[in-house]
Amino acid sequence: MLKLGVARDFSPDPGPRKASQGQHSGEAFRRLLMRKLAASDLVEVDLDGTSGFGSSWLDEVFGGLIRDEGMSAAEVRRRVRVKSIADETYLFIIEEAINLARPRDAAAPVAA
Amino acid sequence: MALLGFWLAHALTVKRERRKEAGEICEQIEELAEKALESALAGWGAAIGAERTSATYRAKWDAQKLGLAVTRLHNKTSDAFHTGINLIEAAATFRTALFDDPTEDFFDSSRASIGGKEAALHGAMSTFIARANQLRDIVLR
Repeated sequence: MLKLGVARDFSPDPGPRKASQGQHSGEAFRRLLMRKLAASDLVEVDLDGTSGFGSSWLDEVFGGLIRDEGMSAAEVRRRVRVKSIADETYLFIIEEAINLARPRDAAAPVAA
Repeated sequence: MALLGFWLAHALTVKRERRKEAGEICEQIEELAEKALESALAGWGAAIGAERTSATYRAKWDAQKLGLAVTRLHNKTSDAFHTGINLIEAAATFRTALFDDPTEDFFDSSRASIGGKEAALHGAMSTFIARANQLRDIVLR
């Protein structure tokens, strides 16, 4: 298992969703995470030690694995372990992002 | 028998201490939620430039302080008090409400200044505070 600390290996100050919106974006972190996933079947992402995350940053990283990288929700859950001991609210936001994400080319879900 | 009495006294002391600490965190949480709301509104309304950068950073930091307090409270109460209330989930929903917008990214340094979010964000905070108060009442009774 590879370990990837946001504060240690990326930035202590995570920024906006997209790289075009500013520094230390969720999109940039997702690219880093994809490189780690290419090298290891299991990656642990450590969220502790930063100045905080916006829900958009978390959605871009973890929902983006499904929307933009072609992974299934089951594969994300199996291959990416998220550690957030100090602030567990992030785990709920990430779980929601994974649940709601759909692959970009898939048809929108039909409302009941 | 004496040993059992000693153990019971110790257990009651630990629970009383935990109740006191949890009550103190509950008081902090309402204050932190109000601060997070205030900072988020300032961040949404901040002009592009240094003011925006500073306001969004402050808002993110204040929201995380709330998340840290809620997690500490959860760790102190989930085993000892069996409250059945998941304040972590409620705080996550509140945090998402503070920063999430379907069309504008709060942290986008180039977005327009956005006002008029007061009612929606106060509503989200009221829902969260109601859950926190429920938990506080159970812990302190």
